[in-house]
Amino acid sequence: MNLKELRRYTHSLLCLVVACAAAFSGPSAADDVKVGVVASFSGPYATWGEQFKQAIELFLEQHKDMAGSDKVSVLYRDNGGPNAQRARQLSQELVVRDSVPVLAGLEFTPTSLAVADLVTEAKVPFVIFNAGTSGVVQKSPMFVRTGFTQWSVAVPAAKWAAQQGMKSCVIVAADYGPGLDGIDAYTKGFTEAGGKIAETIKVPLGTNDFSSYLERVRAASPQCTFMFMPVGPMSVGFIKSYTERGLSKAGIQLITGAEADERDIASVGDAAVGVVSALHYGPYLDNPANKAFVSAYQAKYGKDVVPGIAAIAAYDGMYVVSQMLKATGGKRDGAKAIEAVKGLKWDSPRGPVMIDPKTRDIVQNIYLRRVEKVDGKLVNKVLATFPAVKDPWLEAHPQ
Amino acid sequence: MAQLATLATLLIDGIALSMVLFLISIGMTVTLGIMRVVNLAHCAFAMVGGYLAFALMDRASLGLLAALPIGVLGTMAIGAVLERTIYRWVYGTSELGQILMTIGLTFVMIAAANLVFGSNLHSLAVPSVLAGSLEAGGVTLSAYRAFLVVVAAVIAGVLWVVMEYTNVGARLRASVDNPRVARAVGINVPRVMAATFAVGCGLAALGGILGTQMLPLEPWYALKHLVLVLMVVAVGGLGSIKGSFLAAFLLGLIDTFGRFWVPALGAFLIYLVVVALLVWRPQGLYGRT
Repeated sequence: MNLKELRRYTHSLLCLVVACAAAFSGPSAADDVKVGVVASFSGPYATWGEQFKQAIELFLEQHKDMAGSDKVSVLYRDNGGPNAQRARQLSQELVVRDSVPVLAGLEFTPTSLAVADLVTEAKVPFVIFNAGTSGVVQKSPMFVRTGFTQWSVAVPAAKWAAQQGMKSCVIVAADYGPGLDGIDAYTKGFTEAGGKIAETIKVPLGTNDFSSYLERVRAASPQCTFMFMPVGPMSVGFIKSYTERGLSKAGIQLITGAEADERDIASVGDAAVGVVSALHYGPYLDNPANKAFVSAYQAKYGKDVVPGIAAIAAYDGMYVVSQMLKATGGKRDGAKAIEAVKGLKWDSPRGPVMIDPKTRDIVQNIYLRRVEKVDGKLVNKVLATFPAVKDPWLEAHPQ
Repeated sequence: MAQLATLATLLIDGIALSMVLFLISIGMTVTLGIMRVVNLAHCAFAMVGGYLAFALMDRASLGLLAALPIGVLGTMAIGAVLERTIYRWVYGTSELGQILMTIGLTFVMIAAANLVFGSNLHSLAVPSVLAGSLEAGGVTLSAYRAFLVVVAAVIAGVLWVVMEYTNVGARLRASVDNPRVARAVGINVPRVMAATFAVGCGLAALGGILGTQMLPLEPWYALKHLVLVLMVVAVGGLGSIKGSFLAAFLLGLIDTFGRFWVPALGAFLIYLVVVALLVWRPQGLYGRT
């Protein structure tokens, strides 16, 4: 075999290899639309990622044709908690290496802020599932949010308290960014409705023993206590000792937000009975879309599993993603995708919702609920509904 | 009147916290002051006791009062084994060596706790007899905290009697004051030390198990609350049980009342007080010079 022949062989062999590679990855790769999801699948906040994933998988199963004829697959990337730097890096990889047309996920304000510049520059829409600070959506024209904000639940909670004739309340909040947000929101909502904040108590982050703070609440003898704590050990500990110390019995109504999510009050136990909260979703909401959602969720993941606020954020987030993909035909076109979902209305398990065309934040019902024990289970019963609530902070601070 | 009731409630809360701090610190006071060993892993033994009780309650569904003695004895056994194996080396090294070895041991215990029990916070369920609150003359007391105060007061009393009036106490004091002479009169000093170490671990476990309402269990417990324990030991004076008792009392009350009166400063007040106290008396309230 001379050199010329060898070269010809090599050449044809190479062609064969390339052809094979193309054939194997062929049709599926060409038509596959990949959506990038960055969330915490490990670490102390893994429950968020776990619920996101469950809801996304359920949505994909129910909507096989969501981007026309193309098959949609999801690339999950683990952020392992509130790591801003890592969120940015993972999103960048998904944009550059995997060329995703849409990004979604995240659960914290700092991680959401970290990806703002990136998605603005790359013109890739990011559907934020959860970030509690109102101003987040203003940081990039590519942001859409399907969660809830501290302001959107605290103001209705404060209004409700005033409607019940409560005149004087105390605020107890964890001393960090979102807690201070909560203080502002409760104060504004309650004073505008004619109430008076008797006292504001800031509790250091990581506090386990609330006894002194609760005695201070008792000494102020208010009619209600607005509480904001990071959901988890602090909120559970607070609600428990609030009841144990007899503050509920003394007639001081405890009012919270996301702290009363069904998944979390289970670890509080019976001490949670009677707690009032304002929130956009609960698994026991009485509407057809929610009944269908919860029963499908339980059929897939077990009858003791209840979808929480993380699951609903991802489920509705995926609906937004699907509408974006439909509009762009699965291609990357940030401007077109965002335009397509501005003003988008649909019947979510949480009730009728809309993506506000001005702010790109979700407009939704806020429900005032009270924890009751039904058939041995702790359940939030709806007392009042505030329909189509727009985030009050965004309303007051237009871009 | 309402003012008075609040004060009474706070007083009980403060004393309850003090008692937990005292129970956890006492072992460290003894090892650090008497045996001259810097045992930074001491707080980890409180955690071990807590987790043992947690495991018993969670997996064998025992009540708190049943899990308590098993947890304490188990921790004492673990302490005794570690004393005979690892701490023998620790005794012989320099102070820096002791710090490095015991902090290393702490990290091992933290990692082990994280592996076995996960990173969640746990507090042990209070038995139903002690749940809820007592009401007397307008004063609302947490029944469990009242119970805690009684238990700790009894323990402190027993310790005091043992140290002052029994042969065992006399041997320990002798081993400490002058180990050479103690050995000369036939006291087995290493054995006294080993027993003391194990009892110290057991008391820490007792504090750890009873105190989960105030200091909930988590893998970082061993380092997180070590600062408080070190403060009690330093303020009380190395080696002084009386000093530890007084220091725990002082710090527990200041912390509780500080958070009530000046919530904004609450978490820091205790550190300011410790700095002031140590500037005034560098060797602690009852420290030897």
